[in-house]
Amino acid sequence: MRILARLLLCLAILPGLPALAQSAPSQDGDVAALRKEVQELRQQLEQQQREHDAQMSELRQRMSAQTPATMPATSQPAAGAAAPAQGASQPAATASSPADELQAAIRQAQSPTAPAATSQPGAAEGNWLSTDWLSFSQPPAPVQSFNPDISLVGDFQGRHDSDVGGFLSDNRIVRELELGISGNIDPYARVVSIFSVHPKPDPDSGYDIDVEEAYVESLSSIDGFGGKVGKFRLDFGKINELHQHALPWPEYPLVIQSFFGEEGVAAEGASVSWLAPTDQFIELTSQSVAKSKDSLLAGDDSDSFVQLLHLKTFNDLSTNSTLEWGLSGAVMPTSDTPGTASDAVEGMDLTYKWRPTKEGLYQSFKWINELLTSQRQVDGRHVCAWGGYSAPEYQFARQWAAGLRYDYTQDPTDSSRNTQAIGAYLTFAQSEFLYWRLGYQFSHRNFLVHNSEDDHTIFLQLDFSLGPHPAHKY
Amino acid sequence: MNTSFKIAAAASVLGLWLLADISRAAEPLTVVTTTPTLKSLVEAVGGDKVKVASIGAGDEDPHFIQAKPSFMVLARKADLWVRVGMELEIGYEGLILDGSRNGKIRVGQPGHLDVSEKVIKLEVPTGKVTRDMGDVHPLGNPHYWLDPLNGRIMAREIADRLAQLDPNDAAAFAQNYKAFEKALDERMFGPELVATLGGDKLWALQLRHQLLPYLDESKLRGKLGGWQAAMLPLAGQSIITQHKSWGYFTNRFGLSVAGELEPKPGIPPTAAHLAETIELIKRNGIKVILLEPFYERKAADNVRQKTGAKVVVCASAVGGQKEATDYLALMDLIVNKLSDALGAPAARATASQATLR
Repeated sequence: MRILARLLLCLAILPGLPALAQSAPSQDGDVAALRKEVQELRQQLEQQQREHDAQMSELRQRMSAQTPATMPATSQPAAGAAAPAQGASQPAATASSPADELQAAIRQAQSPTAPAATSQPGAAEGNWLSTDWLSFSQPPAPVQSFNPDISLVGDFQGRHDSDVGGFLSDNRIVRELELGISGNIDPYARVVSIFSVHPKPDPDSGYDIDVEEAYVESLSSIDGFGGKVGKFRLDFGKINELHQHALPWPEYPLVIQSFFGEEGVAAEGASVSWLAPTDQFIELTSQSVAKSKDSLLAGDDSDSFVQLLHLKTFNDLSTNSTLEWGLSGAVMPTSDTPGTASDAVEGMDLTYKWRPTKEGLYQSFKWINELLTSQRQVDGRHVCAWGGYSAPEYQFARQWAAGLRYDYTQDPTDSSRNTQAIGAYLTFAQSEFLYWRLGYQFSHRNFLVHNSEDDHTIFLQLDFSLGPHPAHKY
Repeated sequence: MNTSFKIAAAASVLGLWLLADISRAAEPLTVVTTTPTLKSLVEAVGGDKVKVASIGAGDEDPHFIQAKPSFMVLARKADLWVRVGMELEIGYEGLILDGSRNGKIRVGQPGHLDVSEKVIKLEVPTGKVTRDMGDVHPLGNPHYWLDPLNGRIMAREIADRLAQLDPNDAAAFAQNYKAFEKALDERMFGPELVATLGGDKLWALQLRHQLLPYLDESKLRGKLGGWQAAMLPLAGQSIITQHKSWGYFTNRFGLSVAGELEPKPGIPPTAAHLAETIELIKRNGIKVILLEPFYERKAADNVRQKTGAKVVVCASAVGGQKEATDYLALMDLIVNKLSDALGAPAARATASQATLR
């Protein structure tokens, strides 16, 4: 471009110079100086023209070298391969063949802003001022291409508990904000990181920030194996893997809360999964993670790892309905001495889904069921406990779904204490990126909390997601 | 005896192994497409050299195909994954590709074909795209397969990629493509005109809006047939659609979409917006509301009652209605439904003749 500008400047100045020289014939010294200057300018011009010609011919060579790659020729004769470079800059009437003419017309339609080939009769091949060749290459990729995907998920909730009182839980609306940053690191690995901002337990002391998940995942796979390392939600059963905002209810089922913690369980470690080479979907996942505080996986003082195994299978019952079932098991050594007692938890999950292809925007049904059992050493006693839930949900209009959930769970540290609950939920999806949910749950315990065995809870939830369109897990 | 037995055994094992290898080499390419329209194009140019499956169904909204684990099993065995692209598959594709653990079909690999690369695109946003515009695709409107010229470009892309993956059958793919191209051109312009001028020339003239002047000048107007002849009397008319998905078709045939029942792409119709649309229809004398079979008719029927406009339910994908058996039949269906509804029965007959050729 700089050469072009200089050249134009020279061309603009040159015609004026002789006139300038004639206007002062008596000043010989000046004329000589001007002559010399003109001479120098002429030399410069010639030099630049030579440089420019060399560059143009190099460019043309490069373009014709690239052309066959962009126009793979299964049926196109070799001569046609050079067409794009010429076709675009030639008037339609003189294009070499109908195929070339069509290619030129297509290119013109692809970039309507580019100069029209037919409206530029002067733009012959030799006219290097034509910018048609610029539209030959793809537009430059946006600078953001290398930025990771950034997303923000908000989970707001107001709730009223009959035994606690007040509508907003601790006068807080923002239950959680999740900031997700993820992207491919190189051709072999991807990183997923999710930071959670949530209110501190003390209502007046602001927010805590926590790493909810941060793992590096393999992109390539050998013989159906894949793996990840870092902190991740454990692949136990159907629901634990999901984040709170992705649940079809305002909170995790009671059995997940009492066995794994209020928000399920995530832990640091490594995970390997394998997709069986069968016509049916069978996936086996093995995870080895450090113990996590505040959950059944806490155990006593022990540095050993929790071992988890999950089998997931999936069947298409018909085009519209599917059945997924899985088995999970986790073992947690409670002592550093090998072969001594371990805590264990086992799970079974069964999910039925129905969604007709044609009416699927407006109607669907899913029914999620899970059963968990646990064996723990508590103060030298062996405690066996179990719990489960069953939750059907029917989507009855494009934006509306109604669901129920029945819960039963024993306390994994004292199986004589149990809680059961029944909840009803109504979800309105304002768009794909925001939903409102109203919920009511009645729960009954066989022990007293705040002098009561029964509890009524009303939930009002607002969740949104900002950023790139997320992929929806089935 | 023992030795010769061993040699014979070794030879037969070797023979079997070689045979197995040969039979594997002759196995057709396994192709998985995201939509049945792509599947139809792959079948047209792949012929018996490919085995194709589509994860989406024809009567399904292509934006909301679900990432079923069984699709991962399907994709695991694929040599080639073909997608519409332009972010149409953003809601599920990544999960299926990851879940399949098939390195061959990852984005950027020869086994991953984004057919949108060379098509003519419409509605590519120039400014910043935000969610308050609704479900706008930052790379442009992805419903491009409804322009038959794009169908031609897509088939060529597929044929080229199949040839790259299976060079032994490259000649067959090129031949199949040529046959498909000829069939499409004849359906578009009528067989007589294609025989006289050739498909490439006709398309180039069509693209540059020079087709009719050229035909008049060459005294060939009478030979024009196919979809182009059927749609010609309808050029200049406006229609209303449910979603912003028909622009490629209307653009090719000189019709226009005056508005959508959805206030913004992907946002369900609202009462206020429908009231505006009713006004628009009355003001401009619009005769047709066009929507895909997977949308509820409720909003369209509501507008129909208040305006007298016809509701036309028409598949936008192969398999979306029983007549849409392949790509060319899908285009036949759209042309016929629109010419019926917009009132050009004579033209329709021409289209049928071209079809029955």
